[in-house]
Amino acid sequence: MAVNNHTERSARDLEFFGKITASISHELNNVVSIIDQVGGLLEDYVAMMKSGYTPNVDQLEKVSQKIQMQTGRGVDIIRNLNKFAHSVDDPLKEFDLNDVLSNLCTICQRLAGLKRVTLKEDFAETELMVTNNPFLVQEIIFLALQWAFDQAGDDGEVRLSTSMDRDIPVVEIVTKTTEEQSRSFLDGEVLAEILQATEIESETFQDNTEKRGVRFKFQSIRANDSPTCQKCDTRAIL
Amino acid sequence: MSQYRILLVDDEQELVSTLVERLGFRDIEAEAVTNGHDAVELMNKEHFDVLVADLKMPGLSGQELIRIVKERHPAVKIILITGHGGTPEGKPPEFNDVLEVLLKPFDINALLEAIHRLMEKGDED
Repeated sequence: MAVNNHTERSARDLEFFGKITASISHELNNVVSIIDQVGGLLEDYVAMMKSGYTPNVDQLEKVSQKIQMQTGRGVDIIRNLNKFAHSVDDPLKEFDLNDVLSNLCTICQRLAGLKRVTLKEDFAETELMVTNNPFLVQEIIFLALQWAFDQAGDDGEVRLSTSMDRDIPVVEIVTKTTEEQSRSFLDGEVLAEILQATEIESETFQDNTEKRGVRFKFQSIRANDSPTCQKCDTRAIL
Repeated sequence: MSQYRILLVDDEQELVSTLVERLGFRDIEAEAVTNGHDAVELMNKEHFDVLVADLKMPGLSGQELIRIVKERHPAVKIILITGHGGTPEGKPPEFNDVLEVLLKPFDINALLEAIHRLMEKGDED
């Protein structure tokens, strides 16, 4: 698998990376646009002051608050991007699933909003340490979230949760869907390939609210388990 | 006040509220909403000369909003604002001649020029 589908996999991984960075850059652009206009508003005040108009304290305070708020928002977005970008640094490492997926969930909020879907997260209170490829793990969950957003429909809801089931970290994505659609998604060629590379088990399920979804069970991969790509001398999990 | 009435639609509340204030300083009356559905509703009640809409919004997208507005209020001029770096995605080709497109972030003067261009064009028609 690693040798034959190497190019296709690289293109698929790049597509995922591109979608995430495009979404983040749109959001960052909005932040810059707001700061730009608020700065312009300040310029307007200065120009008007030269003609005798005096802005009141409230107006100036509002400008300051808006700049501070958007700067803080921008810093958060950059931190999320930075964390995501560094997830390709180590193809195999021990990490906390909650930490990585919480970051991904924050990034995906904008995409959920564009689809008019509410994305809710319900993470285990304790760390869920796994040894795997953090980039591919995010790619799996991203594909599942995209699928779930489409299933949820306008004003629908998607819930991403993590838990520990008999010492195995579990991720569940629940929405309004059917058993058939869930099965069809999990059996899709692209997803099946990444699941195989990361040794993650998947299944469909129905929760106690009769909503359905997909569940991923994480095994920790041992460092020397995965095969090597003969073209680039990297392991298959890369 | 200018004779023009502008409706700004963008899900970034801070952006549109600041633009409303800045346009007001330039004697242009503007109102703002944060989604396409509210824009359609407001346009059914009040008259606007120019619609300034973000292309990517939750729910009704800018492109869908344009189609509705062109159908129900064909005289309204439209300016699309987008953060997309390349060719504006989703710009409906059939409306090419009635659209102005501004890339975010944009200067207030670029917005004013686009408004005046569209209104002058409308006067010639």
